[in-house]
Amino acid sequence: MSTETVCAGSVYTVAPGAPVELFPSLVERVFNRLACIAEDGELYEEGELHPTKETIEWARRVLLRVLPSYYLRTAEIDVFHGEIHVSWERNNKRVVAFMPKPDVLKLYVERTKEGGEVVHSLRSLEETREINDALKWLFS
Amino acid sequence: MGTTPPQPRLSEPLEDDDLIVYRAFSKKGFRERDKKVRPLAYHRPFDHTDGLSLGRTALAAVSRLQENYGYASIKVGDIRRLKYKLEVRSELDSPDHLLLCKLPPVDGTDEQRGAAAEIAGVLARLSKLETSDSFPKKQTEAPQGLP
Repeated sequence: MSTETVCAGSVYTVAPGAPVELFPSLVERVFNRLACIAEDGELYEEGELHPTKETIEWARRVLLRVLPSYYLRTAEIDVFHGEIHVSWERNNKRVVAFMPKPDVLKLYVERTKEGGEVVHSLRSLEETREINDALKWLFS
Repeated sequence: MGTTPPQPRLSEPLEDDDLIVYRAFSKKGFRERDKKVRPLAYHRPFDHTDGLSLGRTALAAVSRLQENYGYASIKVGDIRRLKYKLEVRSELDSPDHLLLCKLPPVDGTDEQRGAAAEIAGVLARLSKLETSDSFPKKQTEAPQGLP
C-alpha cells in the first residue's frame, strides 16, 4: 500500500503502487551488448574463440538475477577466449564475474588497501544471487 | 592434430628499469577510450605459453597485428618492482619484440585466475594510455581526381 503525503494542496506518492525501474535504458544497454557480443569483431583478437550461444545465455541469466538492476549501469562486459567477464570498478574496489562456460560462475573481489597493497578472493558460486552481496559491498 | 608453434628464443630478463615498453591494444576492450587502460589488456590466455607481447617501440608493439586500437606504455622498472616476479624478455631473433613472462593464465586454475586478475589490475593502473586510435595513423586516400 502506498503512503500519500499532502503538501500545500498537492498529493505526492512516497511509495508507488508498482516498482519503477529508474534507469531502463542503461540496464537495456547491458543486455543489448550481451546480445551482440558474438558478432562484434572488434571485441576479438584474430583467431580468438567466441563464446558459445549457451555461454551467452548463461551470462544473460546471471545478469537478470542482479538486484537491484541499477547495479548493471556500470557493468562492463568483455569476452576472453570463449569466456564472458562482467566487471565493476568503484574507488578502490573491483568485482568481476567470470563465466567461462554455461553453469559456471566465478566471483572475483578485490580491494586496494591504503598504501597500495591489493587483496583479492576468488570463489565459485552456487547461487548467482551471491553476486548481489559483492555488488552491495562495492557500492557501499 | 594441431601443431604447437615453435617457442621463440628469449633473452635473459631485461634489467633496464628506465626502459619504457609498449603494449598494443589488439581489441577495443583493452582500453576505455581516452581514459584508461583496462585489466583485460594484461590477461594472458592459457595457450599463450610464451607470454604477452610487448614492443620496444610503439611501432614494434603493433607490428604483428592486422588491427589495433591504440597502445599503452609502462616502465620495465614498474613491472620489476612488483611482488609477482614478472619478467620482460626480448626475442633473440627479433629484439624489438618483447614478452611479458610469468603471468599466470586467466583461464587456468582458480588460484591462477585470481592471481592473474589481480596482476592485470595492477599493471593496468601502472600503464599510461598513449592513444586510443589505431597506430600508426592510416593515410587518408585522396579524393578521386587529386594526385
